[in-house]
Order: sequence, then C-alpha cells, then structure tokens
Amino acid sequence: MLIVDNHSMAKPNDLVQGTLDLLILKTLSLEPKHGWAIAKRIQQISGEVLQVQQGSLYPALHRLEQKAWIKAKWKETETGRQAKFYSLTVAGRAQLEKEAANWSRLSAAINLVVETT
Amino acid sequence: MVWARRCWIRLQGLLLRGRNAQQLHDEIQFHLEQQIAENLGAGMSREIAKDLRYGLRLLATLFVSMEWQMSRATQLPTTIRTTIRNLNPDLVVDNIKTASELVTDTLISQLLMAELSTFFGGLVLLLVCVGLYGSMTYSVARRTREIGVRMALGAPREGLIWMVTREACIELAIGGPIGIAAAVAATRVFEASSSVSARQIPFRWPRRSWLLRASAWPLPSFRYAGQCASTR
Repeated sequence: MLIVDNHSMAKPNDLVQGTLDLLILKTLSLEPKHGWAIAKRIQQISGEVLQVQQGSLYPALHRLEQKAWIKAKWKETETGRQAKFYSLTVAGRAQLEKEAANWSRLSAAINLVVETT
Repeated sequence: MVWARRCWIRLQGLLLRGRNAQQLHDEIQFHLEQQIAENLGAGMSREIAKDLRYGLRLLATLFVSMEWQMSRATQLPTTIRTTIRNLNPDLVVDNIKTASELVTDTLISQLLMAELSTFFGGLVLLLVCVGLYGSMTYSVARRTREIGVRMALGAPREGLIWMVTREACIELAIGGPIGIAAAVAATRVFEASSSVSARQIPFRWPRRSWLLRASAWPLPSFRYAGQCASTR
C-alpha cells in the first residue's frame, strides 16, 4: 500500500505494516465488495492519500479469507460481469473490533509521544 | 464453525490449486478491466485502451501458461521486460511475480506447515495402523491354544469373536480418552510454541490420528478373532 503525498509530490512511503487488514475489514463491514471496489473505497475515503496496489490487496484478501475473517462469493456486477465479492464473517467482525481497538491505542500512544517531545 | 471453515478453505487451497490460480487470474483481469474503464472515463483514447486490453489478454494467457507450464516460466519475465522496454526504455522492471506467487508468498508459512503436517500425520497414521495390526496378531496368536480348547469344549464361534473384540474395546475405552486428551494438550503446546495456529492446518493430525487410531483398534482384533474361531 502507498501513502501518496499530494502536496509535496514526494516518493510514496510504505504504510505501517498490518494496517491493510484493518482497512479491508473496515471497508467490508458496510457491505460486500469486490477487490476493485475495496481499493477504490479506501482511496476515496482517505482523500486519495492511500492507494492500495493489486500486489498488496489480493494477497491480503486471500490471507484474510484463509483466516476465515472474510468469505468470498462469485456474483454478477451491475455490468453483468462476474466478480468475486468479499464479505465479513462473524469472526471477521470480532477481529475488526479487536484491530480497531488496537489501532486506537497505538495511534493515541504515538500522538502522545509526538505531541509531548 | 470458524475452525471448520478454516479447515475447508485450507483443504481447498491444497487440493484445488489450479482452480484457485484461475480464479485469481479472473479476479485480477476484472480489476484491470475496471482500471481501463476508469482511465477511459478520465480521457484515455480508445485506441490505447484497445491495445491495453489486447496486451492484458496476452499477458493473462502468459500468466496462466506460467502457472501450468513450467517450461515457459523462464521466458515470461524476458517477454515482459522486452515489451515494456519497447513501450518506454526509461522504465526499469525488476522482480516480476505472478499474482499467484504473491498470494503464495504471503501464505507460505501456513501452506508449508499444512503440507508438512498432512504428510507426517499420514505417515504416523500408517505406522500406527501397522503397529496395531501387528500387536493384535501377536496377542491373538499367543492365545490360539486357549481358543482351541474353548472350541473343543463347545464354545460358540460368535462367543470367541466377542471375547477377543471385547478386550480390544476395553483397551480402546481406556486408551482412547487418554490419547485424545494427550493430543489436545500437544495441540495447545504446539499452538503456544509456534506462530502458526494449529487451526491453520487442514487437519489437526495429532488429534485426528488418535481418533483414527481409536476407531481402527477393534478392526484387527475382530478379524483375528474370526480367523481363530475358524481354526479346526
């Protein structure tokens, strides 16, 4: 995944490892989506800052599927094309809550350090 | 339920690799088509889009070939590099991987653990079955004289079969729960000492092998009891 700095046009940086799973789970918590829609949703919600590349997205989706946190089903899109739709499982929803809590704790801790020192 | 789903997904991953690779290819193809459609909407010319679609189809065919024909695998990176160099000589392409390779890389530890566990679990099960067969053969052979005397005194064949089978069942009733409890404990120890959860393995072979061992226990005893009861 890339963080794109639109202001300075600097080289993109790698995002903190492990956050992609959280972003995917959160994106899928609303409704089932295919890979393209997940990537676009993350990009859109983050204000074009986060861009998930295929090389990161699909391995992550398959990893989450292996952990039974998401399930996949082939369905027709609005255009009539078959696509693999991913949706959250019960275990995935529980994992999302856990990871979101971890992220809140971590980001709050980092904020504290950055603002204090 | 989660455990069953994980087992099922991992079994599919192990047994249906060709189908999974094809599905991944279709998924990536769909993603790229959506990207082209978006680019068209943003003003990309239809000629370039057409060339891109053709290129993607060609690339997709090559990728599928790479999955199934290892002889072509070495040619693919060269073909891609040549194509991209022709389009833009300033672009440097390095570390070319198929989508399946990327997925496999991220799951490699789980897959390796699953395959090794399956192999060794199968091996253990085979050895256990051979051992049980041998030990039951020996114990019944030792009692051939006793069984002959019982038959001479008029013991019915069914009674002799039940006599041997009952002993095996008693052993099973004692050993089965102990074995299962030991397997559960071993699984917990394995989970605690490994970064890979035992739930990530298609079958929990240690536990399964004990269950199968338990279920296999009465079978050789029944067979040998039948053989001894046929002794004249």
